[in-house]
Amino acid sequence: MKALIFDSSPIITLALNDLLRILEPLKDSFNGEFFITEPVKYELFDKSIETKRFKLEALMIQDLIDKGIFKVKKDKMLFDEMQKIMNIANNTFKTESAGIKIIHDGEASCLALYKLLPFEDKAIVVDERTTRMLCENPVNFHKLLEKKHHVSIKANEVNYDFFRKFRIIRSSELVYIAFKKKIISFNFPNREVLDALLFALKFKGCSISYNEINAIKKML
Amino acid sequence: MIEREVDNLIYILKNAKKAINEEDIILLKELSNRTIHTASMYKDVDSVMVAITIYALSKLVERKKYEQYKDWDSFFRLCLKNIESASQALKQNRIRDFRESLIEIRTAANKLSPHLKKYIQDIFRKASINKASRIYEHGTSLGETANLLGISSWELAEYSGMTGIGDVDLSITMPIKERIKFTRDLFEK
Repeated sequence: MKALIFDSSPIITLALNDLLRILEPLKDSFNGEFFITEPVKYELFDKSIETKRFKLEALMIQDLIDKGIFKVKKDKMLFDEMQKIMNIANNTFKTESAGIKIIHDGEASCLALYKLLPFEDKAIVVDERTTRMLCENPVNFHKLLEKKHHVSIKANEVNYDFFRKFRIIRSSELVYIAFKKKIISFNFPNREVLDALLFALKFKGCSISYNEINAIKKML
Repeated sequence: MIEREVDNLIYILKNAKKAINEEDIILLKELSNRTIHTASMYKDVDSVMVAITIYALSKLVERKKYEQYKDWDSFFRLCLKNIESASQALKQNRIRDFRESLIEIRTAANKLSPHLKKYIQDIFRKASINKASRIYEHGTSLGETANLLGISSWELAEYSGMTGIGDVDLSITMPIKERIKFTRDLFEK
């Protein structure tokens, strides 16, 4: 069995670019499960449905849940694991007096679900930068914190190994796969279409650099 | 409130009042940024409130068009009065009064004519998103930042996407070819 666990950030990026429609064919092609956690659903639907600005996007996401494209995970074990992970993450970097709170329950719940799912083939889809940096390069993240805050920040490096096991992808990689599988196609040169897609994601919040976009285009 | 931050906040409020009177927008924006480190590191809501208020006031001072509204002068005077009283309250360790003074600046907009009210509320909302983006840039996650500032992750994602956050060298944590290969393999298994 395979699974992708979605944080709210890639779903926001896709929704703001009218690309939620790629998820159904992508899931068919993936042949596994797409999960969201209850805190992520709360962020994407319950909070957004109350606003005029993102109400339509909230409805479109609820529709994906109703169709079974996303399965919503909610149970006590997940909640307990989420609390544990928040505690570890938010005490990995410290000022003189306390841990720096870096992640919230949405992100932590994705890490918790990843840890609890008994599948070998799985990844977390996250577009926001902090969770990705914490998992993939906590050393760089420590440097970033110190550089931005202009102070020395203590790192509890023992925690680094805990986060290294999480595998992360972004909406940009999903869209690349959708493009390669012709789930997204336009009557225009491929390189230009991919350029348009990746920059659209970047400008709506996907943490991908200009250099990475250029590198992906060269892979065509 | 972070105790060591009190002096910094008093300094900011005192100088903000002066900068507002002198229409020194650059100084106002600098003062607003001075609280971001603390806001980001300690998740200090008071520092966040000061940052948003000062940034919003810099925008109001910058855009002269508001001066044409008849209730602008009274609103402006109320802002200055509350900046002063927030500063005095902090000096006397009256934290509750300090917070109420800042809240009064925001809620004062509710009593204004519909157009001016809408403009000012919009300025404060945009100021919140701008400050949220700065805090996200400092390493706090999107979800935690949105929660701290009381804005939606949608607005923050949209705004931060237009900044260079994703282009910072330290942000690149894995070669892109490797990440693409991992994703492709995951789909093909």
